[in-house]
Amino acid sequence: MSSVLVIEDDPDMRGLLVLMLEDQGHIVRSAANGRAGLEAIHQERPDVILLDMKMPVMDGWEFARRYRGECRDPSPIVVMTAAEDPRKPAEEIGAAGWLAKPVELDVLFDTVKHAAARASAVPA
Amino acid sequence: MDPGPATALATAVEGLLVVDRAGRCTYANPAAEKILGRPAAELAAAPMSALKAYGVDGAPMPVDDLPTLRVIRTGERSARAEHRVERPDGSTAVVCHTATLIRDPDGTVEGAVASLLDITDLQCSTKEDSRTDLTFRAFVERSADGVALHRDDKLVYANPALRRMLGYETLEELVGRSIIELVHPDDRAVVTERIRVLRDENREVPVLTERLLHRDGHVVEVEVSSRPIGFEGEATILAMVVDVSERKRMLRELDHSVSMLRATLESTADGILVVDTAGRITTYNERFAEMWRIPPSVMRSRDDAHAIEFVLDQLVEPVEFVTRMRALYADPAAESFDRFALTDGRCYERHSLPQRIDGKTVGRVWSFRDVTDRRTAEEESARLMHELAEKHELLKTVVDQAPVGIALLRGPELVYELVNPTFEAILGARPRIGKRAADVIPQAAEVVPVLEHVIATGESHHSVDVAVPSTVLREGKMEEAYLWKTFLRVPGPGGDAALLALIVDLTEQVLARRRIEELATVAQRQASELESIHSSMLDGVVVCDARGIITHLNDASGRLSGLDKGALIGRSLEEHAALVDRHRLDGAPMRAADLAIGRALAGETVSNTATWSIRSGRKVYLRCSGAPIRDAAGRIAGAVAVERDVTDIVELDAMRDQFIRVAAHELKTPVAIMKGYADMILRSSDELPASLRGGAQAIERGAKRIDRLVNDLLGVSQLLMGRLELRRDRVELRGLVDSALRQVAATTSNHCIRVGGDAVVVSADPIRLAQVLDTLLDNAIRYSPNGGDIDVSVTAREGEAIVCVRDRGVGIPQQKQERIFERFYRAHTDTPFDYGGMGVGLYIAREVIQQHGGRMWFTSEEGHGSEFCFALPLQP
Repeated sequence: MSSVLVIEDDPDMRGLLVLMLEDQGHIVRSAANGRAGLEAIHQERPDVILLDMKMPVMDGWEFARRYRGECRDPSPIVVMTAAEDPRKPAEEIGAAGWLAKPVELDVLFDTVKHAAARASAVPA
Repeated sequence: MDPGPATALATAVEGLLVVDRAGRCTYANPAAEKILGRPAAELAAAPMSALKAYGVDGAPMPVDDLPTLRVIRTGERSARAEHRVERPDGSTAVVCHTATLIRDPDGTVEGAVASLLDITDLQCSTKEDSRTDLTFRAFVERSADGVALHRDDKLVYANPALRRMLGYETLEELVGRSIIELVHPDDRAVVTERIRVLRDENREVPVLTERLLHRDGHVVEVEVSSRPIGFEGEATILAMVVDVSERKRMLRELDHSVSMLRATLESTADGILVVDTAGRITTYNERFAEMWRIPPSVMRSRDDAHAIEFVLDQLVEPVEFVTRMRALYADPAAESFDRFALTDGRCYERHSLPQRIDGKTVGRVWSFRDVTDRRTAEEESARLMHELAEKHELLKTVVDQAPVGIALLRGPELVYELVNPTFEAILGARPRIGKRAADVIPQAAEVVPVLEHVIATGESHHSVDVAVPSTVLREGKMEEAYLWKTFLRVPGPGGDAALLALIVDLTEQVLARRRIEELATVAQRQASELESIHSSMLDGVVVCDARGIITHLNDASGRLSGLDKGALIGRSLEEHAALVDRHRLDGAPMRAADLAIGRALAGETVSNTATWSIRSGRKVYLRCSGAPIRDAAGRIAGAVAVERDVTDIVELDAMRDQFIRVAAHELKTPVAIMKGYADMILRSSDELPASLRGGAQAIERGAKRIDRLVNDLLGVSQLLMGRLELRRDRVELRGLVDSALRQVAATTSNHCIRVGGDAVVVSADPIRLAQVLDTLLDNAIRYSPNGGDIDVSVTAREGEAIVCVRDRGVGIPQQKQERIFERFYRAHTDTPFDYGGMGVGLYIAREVIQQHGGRMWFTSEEGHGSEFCFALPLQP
């Protein structure tokens, strides 16, 4: 099982994701925006980051830019977006994967699992 | 020759003869006539060899020894001899005969000049004087020639003639003077030598021409013959001195005249040849040789027969030429003129005249002139004459066939002389020729005075019937005709003034013009109506002609382009395209052929193409339609385009698109939450009460439906705005179908979905293709509410990947099938099978497939189900 950081501004969505991922046995922390996400990472490095793009205070793009600027060995990010073409923001920030809202649960689990496996496969 | 030398020759004491190369005398002065006892004409008739000559001692002398004939024969410069010559009356004269050769500039011998000095008395006296000095002296004192006696070089005697020659009064002035002093310095050496010979060798010396000095210093040219004699018992030299200054001067004059003559001969444009009676060429000029291309060597040979060969080779008709030539040579006095052609196209004129010297024919002068140019000019004028004759014929034809009525009336009676057929056609055929106008013309009272005025004054009369027709009499009937009439005074055939009447029947044209004017009024009214309609239209209207020149624009069109209407009219389509600067929606600038009007001119009917351009810094959207304008024969005579400003609509669309995208985005998260929790509930426990499970399933279906609606909205919006972006990935269709089936399978329990086919790879956007499959599968399930089989097949055939989805559902009514792909069209609205939805699923699906370069189609039967298929190009 992996540690997952969920960065999502909508509390219901955030709650749902935490619930679902914990149900799958992951260790899940969450943050309401990019800035809170960075602080959470400073405390402990997650295996996978699940990132919403449109957020107040600090959006997904800014978060990704800063995180990569600070960290030489960033954790894989999975973009979670309501955009018409979810591949676009994922490519823009160089994410390891993407999820289109509304998320199919099976797809969510598979994507997180793949991203975590990729993270552990790459030597730190 | 000027009169000076002529007079001198006539009065000279010396006899002078000019002899030609053949030894014939061509000139004799009076002194010569006297010495020889024959008139000049008689001398000229006979050769010099006919002279009866004897030595001084009376022995017969061969004629070849005569100095004149000798120099001609031998080419010596001069010769001298004393001999006796017998006159016709039997008397004889002793002459001192000096001959000087004449050569022409190229060195050819032309003849000789003979000087004869009668020394009969001197000869006689010398013998007698040997007996008595007194008698000798008396003779010498009378002599016309100078006589000198000198010993060594000292003069002992000079007779009065010599003294006059040298300008001395008395003998004393000369006696004792050195003879050398009297000689020109340049000749002194020669004279000294002669004196030495005379003294030492005691023999006669040849005649010497030398220069003496006159007392006043001028030079006297003399011929001196000297001989040693015994005088007063001492060795003395007798010198006979003949003044030849005048003769020399005359020879020079002669030379000058000859050279003048020769220069004239050479400078003439005519080729000249002179042939003597013996057939020898005596004179020719370079022009002659050049005209006939005769080599100089041939000319120098002086052989006329040889030269003629060159001439004959170049003639078109040599036989005739030779015949004429022979006839002329046979008749020495004949003159002739003829013309003949050369084989190279040139044409020469030939004149031939006898050459006469003092009335006697001595040869023949031929002169040739190149008249090729003149002949060409003559031929040209002959041709012109011929043409003129033809033109006269032509004129007659023109008059007969002219579409203008032509009549010629001889004044002042105005009698018809000529009438052409058109005249009769216009004014009616009846006998006119030879009749007076007053007797023929129906309205003579009005017309004749006009004609008379023209004849009398020469003022032309022109009139055209415009409003009121003339009355004409045709076949006995009075008719009305609109005529154009011109009356001109012209010189008549006999010198009388004549009147030329020109009549054109304009009746047809006048009537036609009236009709046109009426039509034009109608057309003008219609045009102004149309114009006012155009002007008040909100849509822009542009019209061009068949060449693509803008001929009409209404005010709205100018406004739409932001340009002055006047600046666009008259432009070509290319210029128009550049000025209006239109762009396609993708930004590409539009050329003339892309514009609605350009496409319309090419024959296409264009409706509602969208363009934009920048006007006053703002992007303006236009929708344009166009159609060709065809003439009665169906040919394209122009094109018309109508443009509408749809900027407001487009901006509204953009706002709507923006709104939809924001709304969709905002909807997605709550839908995700609903769907997520519903899923979670359904997964959390198998022991969920049935009502709760049904509720959670309903929530999930609702969320799914909202998600599909949101996706449809976004899809339609993207298509409308032209924003649909496709990615190209390598997509395995069978896998994609399986994945889509997994999503929809959960939503139904009463359908049996089967998939057939193998892996097929295409180049496509997997997300968009998944949406297409989702739409087709969802429709298949939805419109087969009673369940049944759903067959999905994936096949590759003829370069295409084909996917078909077949259901056994309600099918689509026949009459609705053709609209099934229309946007917002819902075939089952207000039927028991209305399952909701926006009616855009198939529209988007087909657009997506078409943008992949594929196609979509279907077959359906009401009550039996439908089959929807799409084909995509196989990945190569």
